[in-house]
Amino acid sequence: MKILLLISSLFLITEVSAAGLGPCQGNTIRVWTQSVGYACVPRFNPVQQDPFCAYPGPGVVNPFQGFPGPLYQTQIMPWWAYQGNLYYPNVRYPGVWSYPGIESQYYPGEGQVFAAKPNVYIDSVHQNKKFSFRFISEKKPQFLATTPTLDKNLGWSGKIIEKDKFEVEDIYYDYLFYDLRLPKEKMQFTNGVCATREGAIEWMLKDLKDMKYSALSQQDFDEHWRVKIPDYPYYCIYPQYNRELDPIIPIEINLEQTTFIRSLYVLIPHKKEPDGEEYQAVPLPTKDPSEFRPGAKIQRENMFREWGVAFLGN
Amino acid sequence: MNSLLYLLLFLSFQAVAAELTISGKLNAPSDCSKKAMIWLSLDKENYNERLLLMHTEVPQSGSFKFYVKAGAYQVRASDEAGCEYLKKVQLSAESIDLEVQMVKK
Repeated sequence: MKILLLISSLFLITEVSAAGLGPCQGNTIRVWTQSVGYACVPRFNPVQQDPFCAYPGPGVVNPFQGFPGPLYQTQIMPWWAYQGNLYYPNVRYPGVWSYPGIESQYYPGEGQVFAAKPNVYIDSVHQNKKFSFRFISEKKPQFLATTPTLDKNLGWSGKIIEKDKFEVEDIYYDYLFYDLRLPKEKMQFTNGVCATREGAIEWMLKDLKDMKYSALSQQDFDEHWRVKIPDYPYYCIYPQYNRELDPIIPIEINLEQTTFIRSLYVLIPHKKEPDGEEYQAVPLPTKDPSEFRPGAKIQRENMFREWGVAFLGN
Repeated sequence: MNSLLYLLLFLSFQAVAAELTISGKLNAPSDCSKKAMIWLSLDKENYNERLLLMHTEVPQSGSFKFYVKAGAYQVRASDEAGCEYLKKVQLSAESIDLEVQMVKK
């Protein structure tokens, strides 16, 4: 048996050498992709132990010492998160990050609130209907990214297709996307809730559900933000609904029988349970945000809905 | 007073003219996925310094635009089928428009 183990060990060690990579250091995990081959990248979950690399104890020879770590997943993650983690150290952050927020100097423009990924979805009764969606503020918004690109009128125009897609320049999009910076002073920091990270995600998902966001938009939110919200134990959520967003970033939708419901969650991370007795750079929320939530009872022919999550810049 | 006005006018013109963007259109062969992720990062060889600034999901033939400061960046595209694209760009005064041609690895 010992001889068999020894032979197996030699065989696997040769395999590792052929891959040109030694054992991964602490807090990293071995991954493999077609393009890169083997590589050590940071674990998604730093507290997870690699069972095969655990030292069995004093006086016991570990037959697996020097073996490559297993290829396993600590939790189910979307494909892009794995690929992103191969290339970038901060894929699990909403941008270049330094607690408690985004490193502003890496991004153009002004505005302390980084609204990451407002996604605009459509839920329509129409199979094929022309629309246009335009940013109409006097001052040009400080965009950071858009998909698709905006036209010269700072908008998107095309058709609503199959009730829940946009067609812009003959290409179908499940949603319209933009990132931008917004002024903090025009946002509200009174209404909200504080919760654990998991509780915060669940709260936001329930909020979207209560406003009748489509299953697809809820699924996208869940997939994206479970990866992109940094791993701090607590968050306070300050929802910005139409009441706050319409004046700051007004939109004109050129389509009859249309309602636009907007929700942007500003998240403030906390390394320990928020305590109202201690000084807080952003005051803890004191009011229930649900009374300011846009009503979702009245359904119109074309329901545009937008969700986003925002963090403060440092 | 006039000089001050001219200076302010010049500075505001500079501020408008200084908008820098990296835009692109996704082009992928049929054996790639219907959607790809476009990643924008600092152009660094070292993994720990290659900070990700933004990313966006783009459908086949779709378009995107990143608004950036002057500097050196990597624009990468990847998809679920193993198709890839990488371009290093240096922006100082002019915006860049890319044809993101995916390649199956």
